[in-house]
Amino acid sequence: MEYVIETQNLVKQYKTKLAVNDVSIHVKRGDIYGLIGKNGAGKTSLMKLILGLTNPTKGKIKLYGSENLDEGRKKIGSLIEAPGLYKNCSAYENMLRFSILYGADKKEIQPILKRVGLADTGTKKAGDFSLGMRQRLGIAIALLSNPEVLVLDEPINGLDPAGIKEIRDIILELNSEGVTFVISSHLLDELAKVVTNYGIISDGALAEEVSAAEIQDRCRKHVKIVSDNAQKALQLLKEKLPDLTAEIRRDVLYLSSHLDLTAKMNAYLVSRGVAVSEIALSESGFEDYFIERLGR
Amino acid sequence: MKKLLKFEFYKLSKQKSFYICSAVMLVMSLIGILLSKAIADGNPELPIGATSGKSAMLSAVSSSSFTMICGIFLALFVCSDYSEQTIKNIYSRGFSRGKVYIAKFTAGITATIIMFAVTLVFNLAAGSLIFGNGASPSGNYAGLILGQLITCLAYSSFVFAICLIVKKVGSSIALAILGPSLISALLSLADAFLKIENFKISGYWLEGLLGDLSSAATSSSRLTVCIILSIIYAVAFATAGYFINKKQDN
Repeated sequence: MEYVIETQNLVKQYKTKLAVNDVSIHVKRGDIYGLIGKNGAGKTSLMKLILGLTNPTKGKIKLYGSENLDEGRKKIGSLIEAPGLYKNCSAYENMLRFSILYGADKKEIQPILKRVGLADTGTKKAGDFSLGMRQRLGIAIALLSNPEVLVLDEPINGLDPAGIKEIRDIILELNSEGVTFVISSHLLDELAKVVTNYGIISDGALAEEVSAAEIQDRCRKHVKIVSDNAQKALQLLKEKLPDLTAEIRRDVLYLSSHLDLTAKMNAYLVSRGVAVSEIALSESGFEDYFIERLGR
Repeated sequence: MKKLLKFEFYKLSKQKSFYICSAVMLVMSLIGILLSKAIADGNPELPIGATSGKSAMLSAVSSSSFTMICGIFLALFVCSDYSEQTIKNIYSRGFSRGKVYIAKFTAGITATIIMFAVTLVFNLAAGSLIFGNGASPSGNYAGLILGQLITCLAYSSFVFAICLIVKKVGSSIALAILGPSLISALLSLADAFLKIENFKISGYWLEGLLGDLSSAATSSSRLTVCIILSIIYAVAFATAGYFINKKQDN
């Protein structure tokens, strides 16, 4: 399968920090790929590597299946960290400069500014904009020249609730037109409203790559069994219930089927020498799931 | 590459500091010419300067104010994309560091040539107006002006390389102003210690070259040496800046 963005064992080592540690992500055409992780986890570093703002220490990056990254990057719009703006220029002048660089038609500028809510800023200089306005202008610049992929680092940073909804609507609208997204955000609930796939980053490494549908599945009702030997517990239960749906995460056994047999399972495991310290029926919240994956 | 060049030249045309620095240069030139006129009118306490339009033109860039003002403008022009973080919007769209360097360098060098030409023409006009059709010292004016242009471009290459390595406006301006003078001072110190007869290392640095190229009495062999050395400096600084910039992260 050709991925729009693919990294293979990507590593970025700074002098004192391993920012990206053997990360392999896969972004398909049409995905809204959410990068989730704590502050300093490596999300922005990973995005910078993909965009060519920093050079990798090891590993490969492929865009549209090719290692010719300059060509692939021409189709990518981005907003990384604080927006890069000419502070002494108006919103229109900023857009005009980048339209010259990207070879975009000047006629694209006003519709894009209207779309992000900056059509009426007139001659006001970008340096005098609020944080939210600067963020919107950064997104507007990323939209120039109809990119096929948008890489957005915390795009709703600094926006009010109405602004957040507007950006969410823009993302969904563009995605329905075929634009692929890679988005990082700390606001899990907001991300959950748009994302189709997740890349969970923890301490520079990819903890998990999972679809939104799968996460919803995992967050539904399940039995959590904490024991001294999760592997043995799973093996024993599988012998009795071959169609059991279960997985082990961080040495804890999670069962998502046969939930009505909890008491019998507990008794069985204990009789077979597994020390069960906790067995409970629960339903994970979305946040709980990610906090568990990201570690405390 | 075409889009990059168009982008850089558009920014240059909108850069207020380009026009302000050019105006300041002309004002400084006018002050220089007026001072020379005061000397010519018999005020022995003031320094000696031009005595005609042609000599005013020849000495237009010899003072440190031209290279300093040009350096300040280049630092503002080149570093703005880094200080404002707009360089992210350039690199992330697939424009390689090498091509960005070449485009910025081309625009910067063009700006230097324009400032040089305007300053020379202004000095010629102002000098002719103020001194009238006075006698000019004889010399190879065309060769000397060509040499001055190449030396100014070498200065610009030096400043350009510093700007793309340092990437900060303040530090770049400081290094652009102090760097050449500091090197000049160190080479003069070396001359004082070495005491080599008929040879001064400081005479082969940019400031020494520019000084000789501003005198109509400079011999043709010295003119040739100045031009060749200036070309070497220009190429060396441009190449060094290119390769160092290519390896840097943003």
